[in-house]
Amino acid sequence: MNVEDLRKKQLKFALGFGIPYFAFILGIYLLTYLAKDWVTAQKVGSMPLHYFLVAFVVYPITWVVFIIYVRLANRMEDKLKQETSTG
Amino acid sequence: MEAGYQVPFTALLLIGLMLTFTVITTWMFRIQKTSADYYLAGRKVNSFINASAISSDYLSAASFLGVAGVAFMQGFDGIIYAFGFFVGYVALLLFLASPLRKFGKYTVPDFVSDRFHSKRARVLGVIGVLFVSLFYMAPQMLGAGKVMGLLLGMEYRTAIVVIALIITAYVSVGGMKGTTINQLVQFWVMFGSMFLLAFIPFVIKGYTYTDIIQALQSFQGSEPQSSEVFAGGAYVQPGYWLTNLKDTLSLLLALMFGTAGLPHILVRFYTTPNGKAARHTVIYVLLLIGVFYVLSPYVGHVVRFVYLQADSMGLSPHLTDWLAINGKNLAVPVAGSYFGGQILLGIVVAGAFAAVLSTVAGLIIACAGAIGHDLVVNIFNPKMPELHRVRIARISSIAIGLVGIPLGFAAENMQIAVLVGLAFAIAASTFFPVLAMGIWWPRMTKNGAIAGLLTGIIGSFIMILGKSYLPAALTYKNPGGFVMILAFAAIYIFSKWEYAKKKEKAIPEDVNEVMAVLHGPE
Repeated sequence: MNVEDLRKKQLKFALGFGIPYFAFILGIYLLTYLAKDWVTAQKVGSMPLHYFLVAFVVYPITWVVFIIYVRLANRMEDKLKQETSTG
Repeated sequence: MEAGYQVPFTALLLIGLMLTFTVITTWMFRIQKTSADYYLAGRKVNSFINASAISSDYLSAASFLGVAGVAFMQGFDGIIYAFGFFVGYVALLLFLASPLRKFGKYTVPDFVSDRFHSKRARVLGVIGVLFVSLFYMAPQMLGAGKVMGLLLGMEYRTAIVVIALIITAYVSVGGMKGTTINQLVQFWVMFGSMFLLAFIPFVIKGYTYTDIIQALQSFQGSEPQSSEVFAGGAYVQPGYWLTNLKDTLSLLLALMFGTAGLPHILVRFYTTPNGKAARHTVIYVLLLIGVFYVLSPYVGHVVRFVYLQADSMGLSPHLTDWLAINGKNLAVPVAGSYFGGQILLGIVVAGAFAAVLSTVAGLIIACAGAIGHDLVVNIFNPKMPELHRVRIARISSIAIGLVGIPLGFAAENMQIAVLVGLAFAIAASTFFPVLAMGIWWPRMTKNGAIAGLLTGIIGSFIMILGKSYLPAALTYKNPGGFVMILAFAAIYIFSKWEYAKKKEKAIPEDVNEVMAVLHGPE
């Protein structure tokens, strides 16, 4: 694999996780500030939705997504290493 | 707590903590033989230890005192700091951690200089490191001065001088290895303190997050002492403090991408053995700081709940005074004293001290690297013998540590979290664009890098320090997001412009080799 293909593959992989994740993060804030009346009226259990999203749920979601990311990224790197060493 | 109030347990804990750090530092002094040992702990720190040290570096006074403080002051809007500080690590993980480690250089100026073969870029990198780090150091000294000054009955300025001398001594002697092991201990002191502050109200008193939010929302009455009416409904809703979307988004972007440009955090990834370990390290960091950032805004809200009912909840007059006068920075020690008396107060003070110590230590190492390694060695004397390099590193550490004293004096009346937010703004606009584009865009040129660095440094300088001279449309609570976008645009435009003039000669000759190192397997 040439260098340019390698770079593109890595970039595509990082953006594949990054774009949806940052869209989700900015989306939470846009939702919270642009639809304030609606968001503050909603509840998850007994917790207001805006607190649930910003103060709580973002953490476990990030952990799960990026544990998967690191596993896949390291696996991809091992595969690339194998390909490079076998020619 | 009035002057002269004695806190023997606090003093004992602090003395114990200092003795531990001194033993570690002295031990590490004996095993440093090269400048790589001093700056990078020999590049052999395992992921979990490094993650604890990075978390400790990162959880500064702003996180330990400031996040709960800003939640106490600004309600729901204050939580943006916890959220943004946390999310910042994701940008670092996705775009920078592993490639930077593979590139294998000491510092950010090293990266820009070697990627673009430009001494000018290296010098701008050094200026950027100093600008970000000193802006970051000021609120740490503020936190240290306020907490230590009040709790140990010390005058603010005396506390600043004492703390600056202690930190300078142990960093200049212990280097990165001593700092790393000290930070490991400091992280668990900090984390344990915040855990206890949340555990006692949540588990023992039974105040759930929802109970607290509902109680604050329905509170009718005025604040103690000031007699101002407390608007509980607004406090727990978006828009209480961040009144427009422009400010909110700019602050959020600064926090989200500022982490990825903080020199004292970036330099830590060079201490891992390889790129894979760098990724593992970030995951551990996300787990550790994530739990911390769930807890600290909750603590801030609980303190507000107690403060509003000071009389009926038995909050003593001196603690009520502290919150009325300086709740933005002292909500955490008040929580310690209220929920756990002198013992928990002692643990919390030790946590605050650890937070300041670890972060300032990291900042000193980063600045010493910029001055000693990037400026003195690489620009003025590349053939300097190894022994002299270690000496230069120590002298630079002492100089930077002492600069903390006037910085602490200047920051006396400011709010910790807001000041740190501004350091994030500079980092997001100065380093993140240059690093991200330098790593991922092979067509980036030397002039593009210089334009990006200059836009970040000058743009943040004008928009933060010259704010009062700007029109309303250009003033932001935190200009980080806005200047960062300008810096990305500057890199793109100047790179295209240089390419149009010089064609392929504009691109560094070794770009393919560099891209292979950054993105290929190790």
